[in-house]
Amino acid sequence: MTERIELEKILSSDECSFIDDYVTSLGEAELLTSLSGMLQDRFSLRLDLDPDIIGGLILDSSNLPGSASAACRPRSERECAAIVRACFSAKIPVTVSAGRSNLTGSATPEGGVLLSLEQMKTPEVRVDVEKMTVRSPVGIILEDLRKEVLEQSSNTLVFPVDPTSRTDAMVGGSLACNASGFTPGDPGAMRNWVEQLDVLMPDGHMIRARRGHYLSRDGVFILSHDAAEIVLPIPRYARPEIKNASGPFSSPDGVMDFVDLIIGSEGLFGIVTACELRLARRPHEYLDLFFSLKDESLTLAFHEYLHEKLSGNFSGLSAFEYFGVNCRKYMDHESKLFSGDDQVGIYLQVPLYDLTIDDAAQQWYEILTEAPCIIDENAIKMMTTDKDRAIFLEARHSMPSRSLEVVQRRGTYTIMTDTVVPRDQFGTFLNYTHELLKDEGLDYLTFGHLGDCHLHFMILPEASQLTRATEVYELIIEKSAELGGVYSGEHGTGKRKRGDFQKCYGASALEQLCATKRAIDPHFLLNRGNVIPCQAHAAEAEP
Amino acid sequence: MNTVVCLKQVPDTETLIKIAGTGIATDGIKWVISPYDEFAVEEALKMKEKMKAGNVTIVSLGPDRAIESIRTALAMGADTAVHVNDAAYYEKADPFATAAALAAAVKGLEYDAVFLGKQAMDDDSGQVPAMLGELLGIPVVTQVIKIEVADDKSKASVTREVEGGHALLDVSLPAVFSAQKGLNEPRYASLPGIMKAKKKPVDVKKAADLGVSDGPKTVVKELSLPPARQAGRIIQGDDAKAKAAALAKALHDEVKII
Ligand SMILES: Cc1cc2nc3c(=O)[nH]c(=O)nc-3n(C[C@H](O)[C@H](O)[C@H](O)COP(=O)(O)OP(=O)(O)OC[C@H]3O[C@@H](n4cnc5c(N)ncnc54)[C@H](O)[C@@H]3O)c2cc1C
Repeated sequence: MTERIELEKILSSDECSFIDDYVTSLGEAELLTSLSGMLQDRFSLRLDLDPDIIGGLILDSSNLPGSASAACRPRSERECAAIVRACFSAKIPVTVSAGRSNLTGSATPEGGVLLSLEQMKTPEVRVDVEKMTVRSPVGIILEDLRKEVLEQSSNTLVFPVDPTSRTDAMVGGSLACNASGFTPGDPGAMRNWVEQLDVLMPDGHMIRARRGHYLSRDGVFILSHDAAEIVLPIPRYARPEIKNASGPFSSPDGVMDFVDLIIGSEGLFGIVTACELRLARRPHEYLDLFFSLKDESLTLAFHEYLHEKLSGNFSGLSAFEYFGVNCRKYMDHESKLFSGDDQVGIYLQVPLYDLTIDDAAQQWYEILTEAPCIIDENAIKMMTTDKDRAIFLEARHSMPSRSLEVVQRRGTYTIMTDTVVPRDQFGTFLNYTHELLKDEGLDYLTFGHLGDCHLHFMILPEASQLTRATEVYELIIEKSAELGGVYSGEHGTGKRKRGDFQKCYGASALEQLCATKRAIDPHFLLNRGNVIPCQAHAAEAEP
Repeated sequence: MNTVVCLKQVPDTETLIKIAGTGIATDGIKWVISPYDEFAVEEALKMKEKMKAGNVTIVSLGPDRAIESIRTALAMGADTAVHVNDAAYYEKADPFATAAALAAAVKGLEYDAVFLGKQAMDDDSGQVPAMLGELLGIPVVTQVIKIEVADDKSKASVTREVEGGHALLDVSLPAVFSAQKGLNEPRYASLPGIMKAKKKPVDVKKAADLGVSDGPKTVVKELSLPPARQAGRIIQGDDAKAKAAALAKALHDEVKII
């Protein structure tokens, strides 16, 4: 355990000097064309300058406009190091992308080189059944990794993180965003499962960090290579103890694992080129239940009841999801899920390791029918086949797509919150938000991860309401911060929500982030514009 | 309103089918209620709820494993079941033998309507509903997408799907109805329903108990899979122009569409 990190060389000193000398000899006009030639000749690496190829890579699910002058798709750590070193020397901004499924613009370039990691397929996926770990490349779709884990372990082990976007998101993108799925609590997010990260630093050096090996002391890591030392201060702003994907990890007491600094940092501090993840035992079966309730007040009462019943720990569940206001209206198969004129619904999934499905059904029947909030027992639906589950997922996924159709007809777009608040403020927060949205006459629906007090409000404004809807979004973010919450539980910050970061943690938090960034990336080249607003580093960032 | 639903257990539609002799290899298969039969179960349950009286009885011809699907239907809300569990009969049964066994089982029950899917998802023959009606001596309406029963249960107004449109007809009851997609959305079983289903009565019969002796009239001689699709090919070329030229050549010379 040490705060001293020895930086590893991927490129030899000669190769680094060659790149540095080559770059300094170039004029600005010829820079990219010459770089492209040099990377091809010396590293067999293609730097595409063709606008058509670049155009196909810059758009991500955020739909924010982007631009880049060149695009590069390295296939190995070494190729990655070559392009990163070249851009570092030439002071060219680099934006990293993977599955491009982010909703915040975190992989949308604002100039410079777009570095797409979708070809980073080495090392091969390798499961160690004994150690219950998997070594994985970053350029693999998360769902493909999950399938490979099942296959290589003969269906005995799983990688349990299951974001809705898992068929589009890649392993690297999921690590960079600390993506999370249905499972409540820490086990639901990537961070919980990371054993080792191979991280390419903005200057092209490499750090292979095993969890527990590099711990900062008094708020700093010391990075050393050759004779040089870099003092890397870590962010120390206070983070509430709730689900959180809002900004990079921080540690008020100054002690942080290097692995944690990287996970969820949206590529600000380094590029993950490979990883080792822990795996979980595969349950022999799941108990899947959905029940509907009259309204949200009953949901809150049930949430309290279950919290008490499970001694404050929802992590024995693999889903505790909520389908709130207006979901029924926007959902396929709603008549299958909701009973009578019930307006809201709850989905619970329990992984079964030792209990039989019959025993679990009996146990949960008792838990649910003893709840103080009147659950009509015939409204408790149990999904028993793969088809049942597939229909449920179809219903779940139909809500965003049907909402999208509505806003497209209105000529607008959806505005979605991703806030999480502490449990004791959950009711207050929900009441405030519902009232605000209703007072403004805004159409919306609410759904999300009840177990984590992490609900999305998806606003569907009319064209005349767009400006006000954006202001309302800001008010919701301010309220969540006021109640000790955060603005993002899973989608992160990127470019779209960088204003929210300061609202949540304050101006000094931003200063701390800049200090961390500056220490390893003085010109703010890597993933420029993510989390840190451009004006915060404009003076020092300009090449 | 008493109704009977005939259901068949079939491989899950996602299953990768492997041929074994004149049948399929059953190892690793997940078994489900044939999807069209699920519509039939749902319609019978809705009818019982609407009329606020009556029984829904499930009748299924199938081996031991079919009991799981019978229990699923009971969990959805059906009241009782007859399981014609006769492996020797089932293995050889063609549509006629199936209809004969079902008809014999249904004859012993009280019913105003018989529901079943328009075809079983595995063999797709689509003959059983009509044969069943014939053997029971009652009318048959196939491909039903809507049914409304008169209060006195003497007749039903039925909408059935026909090529390019709908046909509306009245039919006297009792009758056989075969369910088409669109008739309803089958419900999930409720948790208490699943627990109660274990205690609901299932009458297990052999074909001989029902007095059925007619054998199959058809014999499957061979099964074959559609030809495997050819693997895709990535067009090679140094740049976009070369790739476009290679693609055009392939479309012209090999696929012959330009
Ligand atoms: C329909 C939909 C549903 C979604 N559902 C969920 C959900 O349930 N849970 C959830 O958490 N998120 C969800 N998301 C958001 C998104 O899928 C996640 O943020 C995901 O982790 C992004 O992965 P990606 O591979 O697509 O990364 P990209 O979008 O390509 O990039 C995201 C960020 O990661 C950085 N990055 C990518 N690879 C690396 C790397 N190797 N090293 C360093 N930085 C890197 C990029 O620079 C960027 O900052 C959803 C998105 C959509 C469109």
